[in-house]
Amino acid sequence: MTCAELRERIVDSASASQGGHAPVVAHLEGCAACRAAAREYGALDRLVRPALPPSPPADFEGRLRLRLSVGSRHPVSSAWLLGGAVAVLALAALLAPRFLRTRPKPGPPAPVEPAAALVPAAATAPAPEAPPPDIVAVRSTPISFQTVPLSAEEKAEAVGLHDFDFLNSFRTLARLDAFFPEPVGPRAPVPVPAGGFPSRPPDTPDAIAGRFLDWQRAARTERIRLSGLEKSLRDRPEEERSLLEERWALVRDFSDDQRAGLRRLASRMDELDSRAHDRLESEIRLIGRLPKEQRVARWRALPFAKPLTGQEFASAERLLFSR
Amino acid sequence: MAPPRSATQPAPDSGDLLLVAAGDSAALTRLVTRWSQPVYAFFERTREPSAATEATLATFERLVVSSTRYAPDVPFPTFLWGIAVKIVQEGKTGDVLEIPAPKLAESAAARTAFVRSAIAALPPAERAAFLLTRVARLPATAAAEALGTQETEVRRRIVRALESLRTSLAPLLESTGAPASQGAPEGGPMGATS
Repeated sequence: MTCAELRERIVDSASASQGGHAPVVAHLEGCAACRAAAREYGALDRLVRPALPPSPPADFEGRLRLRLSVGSRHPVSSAWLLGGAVAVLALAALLAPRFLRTRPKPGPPAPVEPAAALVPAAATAPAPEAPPPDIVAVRSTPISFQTVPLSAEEKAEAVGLHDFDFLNSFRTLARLDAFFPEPVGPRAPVPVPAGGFPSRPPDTPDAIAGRFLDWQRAARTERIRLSGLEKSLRDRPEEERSLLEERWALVRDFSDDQRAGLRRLASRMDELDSRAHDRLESEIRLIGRLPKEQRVARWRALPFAKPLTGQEFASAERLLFSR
Repeated sequence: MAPPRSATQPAPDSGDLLLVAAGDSAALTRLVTRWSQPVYAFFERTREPSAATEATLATFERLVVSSTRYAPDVPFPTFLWGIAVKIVQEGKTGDVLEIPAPKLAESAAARTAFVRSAIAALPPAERAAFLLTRVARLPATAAAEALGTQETEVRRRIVRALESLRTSLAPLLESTGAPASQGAPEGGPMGATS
């Protein structure tokens, strides 16, 4: 038995015993290289098996049905697939009231309407003679349930996008390297937290329902812009995307004003010539490694920091102290 | 409850796929319940979770689309894994990540990414044979059916894949063996000889 024959036998338990173990054992006794190979094959087997079997997201079936309902190009696009997708979306619609806050009305409280009364309004157009539905507020922006419902294709597009605030910010985050912990190496991966990054596309019924409402009220140009940003994000290498998503976790609680400050800060850094930029980046990285109590004085002493506006200054400080 | 098996009734998975072709929504739910996890685990060893989910969705989408062409004399696992194999072979062959040893030692996520990149860097045919037998745990005979090749060829591919991985994953093999967070020390096909 040659080494190649032995290795081809021991990689499959069924064939390992064919013809008896004796030739295998005899070869292994006399061949140190194959003994080492056999040991390492076993170690590799254990290495590639995760400790806990990974599972797909909980809404996997809903996403599959949505996808099947969108893909009318294939032969099995029958009503039951659409029915399944509608069931998933109906679940999302049922959950939607969690996101909705009825606009407070002056005067005595109106009698409580059953929640179910809202659902048909979302799913079907009201009868012509019916009174117009209440205007409701979603995240402070008034919308009406009379908005044209999203098509399955629009829904599929909407659920594939990352967090909108993240999409609006990732390019800025990419330009502020100096303010974030240095990656271990140019291609070192960022550990993905359990459950994924907070900027990930919606993957729970609640999040999907919220996304549909956001998408429904977004103008066409805004949808195109966000989809373009998503494409631009996905065109980046995976490790770079992870890095940006990790950075986003640090700034997602920043106020709008502070995020605007970050954009201006990035623009100011872009205006520097490459030598000054590199020097500044080194100085900021150095400050980032200092104990927090020493960072303030060092940061404020930087010539770059002196002409910053209050908004830029506050954003930079918060970023420096957020890690 | 799974329907009883008999000589005239197809196995539950095959029967459910025939029902899917006939438009039975519940049959699709049953197939997803039984098979989404192993298919997801198959892809998750070569790509990060969102990409693995996408590949799993693509597998089930193709399964439904091709259900009308399914002939019940083909075992369902062969049919399903045949689809998954095509998708895994379509995946780009990347490079093995270069991760400093201290990072590998301290971070389970780094080790996972390292292992994924090493498997993804295998040539497509070897990658598919390796994943079918090592992750999906199919015997070489079943893997050969899914790959549409001979069993001996499958074993050759597995050996080539393992030899490549011995080199690319050497930093992990040289440490204290497989780190506990990466895999349970259960006996696999290699258990008897390792």
